[in-house]
Amino acid sequence: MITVSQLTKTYGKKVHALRGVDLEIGTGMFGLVGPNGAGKTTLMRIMAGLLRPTSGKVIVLGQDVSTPRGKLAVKSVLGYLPQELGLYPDLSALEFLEYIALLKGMTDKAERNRQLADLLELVGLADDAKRRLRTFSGGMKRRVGIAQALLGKPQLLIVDEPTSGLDPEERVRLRNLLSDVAARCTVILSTHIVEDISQSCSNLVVINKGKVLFRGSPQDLIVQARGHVWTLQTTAERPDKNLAVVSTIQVQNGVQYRVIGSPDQRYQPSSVEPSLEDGYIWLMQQEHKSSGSK
Amino acid sequence: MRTPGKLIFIARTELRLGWRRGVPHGLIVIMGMIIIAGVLLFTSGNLESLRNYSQKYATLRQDPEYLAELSAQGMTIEDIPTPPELLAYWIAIGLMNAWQSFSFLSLIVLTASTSFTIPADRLFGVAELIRSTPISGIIYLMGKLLGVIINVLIPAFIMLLLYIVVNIMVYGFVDLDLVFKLTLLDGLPLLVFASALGVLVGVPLRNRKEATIIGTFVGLLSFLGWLNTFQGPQKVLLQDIASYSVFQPYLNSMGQNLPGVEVGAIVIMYTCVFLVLTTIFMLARLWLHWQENF
Repeated sequence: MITVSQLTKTYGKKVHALRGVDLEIGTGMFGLVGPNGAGKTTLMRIMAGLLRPTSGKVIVLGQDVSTPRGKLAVKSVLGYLPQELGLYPDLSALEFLEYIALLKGMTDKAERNRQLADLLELVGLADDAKRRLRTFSGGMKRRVGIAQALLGKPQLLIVDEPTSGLDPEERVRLRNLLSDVAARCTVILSTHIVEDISQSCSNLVVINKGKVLFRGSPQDLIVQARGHVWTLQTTAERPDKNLAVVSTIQVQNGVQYRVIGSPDQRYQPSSVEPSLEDGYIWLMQQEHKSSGSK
Repeated sequence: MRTPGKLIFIARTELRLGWRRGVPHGLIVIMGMIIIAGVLLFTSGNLESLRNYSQKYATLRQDPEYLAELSAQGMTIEDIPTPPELLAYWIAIGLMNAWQSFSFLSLIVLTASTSFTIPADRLFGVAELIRSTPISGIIYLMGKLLGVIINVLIPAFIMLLLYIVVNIMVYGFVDLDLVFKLTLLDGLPLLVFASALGVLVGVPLRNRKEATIIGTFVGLLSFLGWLNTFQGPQKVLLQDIASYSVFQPYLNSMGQNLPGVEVGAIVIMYTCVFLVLTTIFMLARLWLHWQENF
């Protein structure tokens, strides 16, 4: 459905946001993970036709997004939730959603009103639909953003850090909602919160410094870290600096750490089954080591 | 949705936003009040003289001695302005003086206040959402222009009605010919030009401060450029040729001998204005295309 080949994006002459990215994305929910500044937002904005790549190609639903016609075709089936979501504070939620619906080309008034009502209900804002957006909390604004992205039943949904600023209950609700949507279209979910991916994506890509470090299933990433995740207990001191500490728990006789790497045997570490987060940290650790040795 | 539909909807939303923000129609009301107050202040001092003149005129037109005196000068009583003609003259002169401040203010203030239209979308974070919908940059820009222009013209029309009402209440008379000629030949094009110029020069700007500073500067330049390029043949009047052509017959009716203006000169003036706006529109459109892939 989406093919990204040899994609590069350079801002100015020095900032290389993307360096020869190759990707194939099918239907379902696809995760894009990486630290802040990895190039995720740049990649998504190029896929959405909002940004021109420096070189390379992005084909979405058979359309080249770098051509004017392709860009327009992609936008007509796109639902997009940007990282820095903005809303007109002087409009009500309903007015704002209606505005976006019309810009998306939803001309049938009955269908538009039905979708608006359904989506407001879905994101739990039906009772606040006529309130001005300036009175909404951060979480409520995020939900308006999600509703606008789902308007017009998009075939491609790009959501950039959708769970940031949401409370745990809202995060779970949003993840479930996106999973439901993914049953009928492609959802690209960008996040630096690995838990969001582990709960909802069947495929993911880990990106760092504009390069793809990993592509595969969450299980594949977990497997990579197998044998490298340990729990160990110390009386007080922190374990070796070369180890990545994933969690720290104060216990009765000292401190229990969950670490990634090769710990000193004097701590009597015990191997544990890695989580997706462990797999991600293991991968990033390997990347730091390899870039450090260069 | 067809292109005109989207354009109208963008304009409608812009109109709604502008109305709720109170800009720029609040400024139009202030400027309208300045004009009305200016005309009233100028003419109210002459009302007593006008009453005296009315009585004197009624007596003199029956006075054979006065008529003989006129005849000796090669004139008849028809050459002497009637009280209504004198009133119309005074109102015209009052309006002419107020019009100078109106032209000055609208070119500067309107350009400055409307220059935040496009940056506001970026600042609120809505620009990226709009760009992710299947509309072209040209439709977006035209929709914004249309919305802002209507936002300016509605209060201007209300102020025009108020001016007419005030005239009728104070003088029991309104010179509709003067009002409509001035509105159509100068007021309307001036308001459209100033507001469109503001929107277009604001396209590359990032925040309100930048927009206000640049908008004011461009407004000042446009005022000086407008006046220098299109000033009427009689330089004592700080009027462009369009408004000069409206006031000139009133001044001549009281014995002045000012040269007239060819209709062709006014046509050339507005052709130049249209070309300038079109050029700036194209530059703004290109900027959106190159900088924002819109």
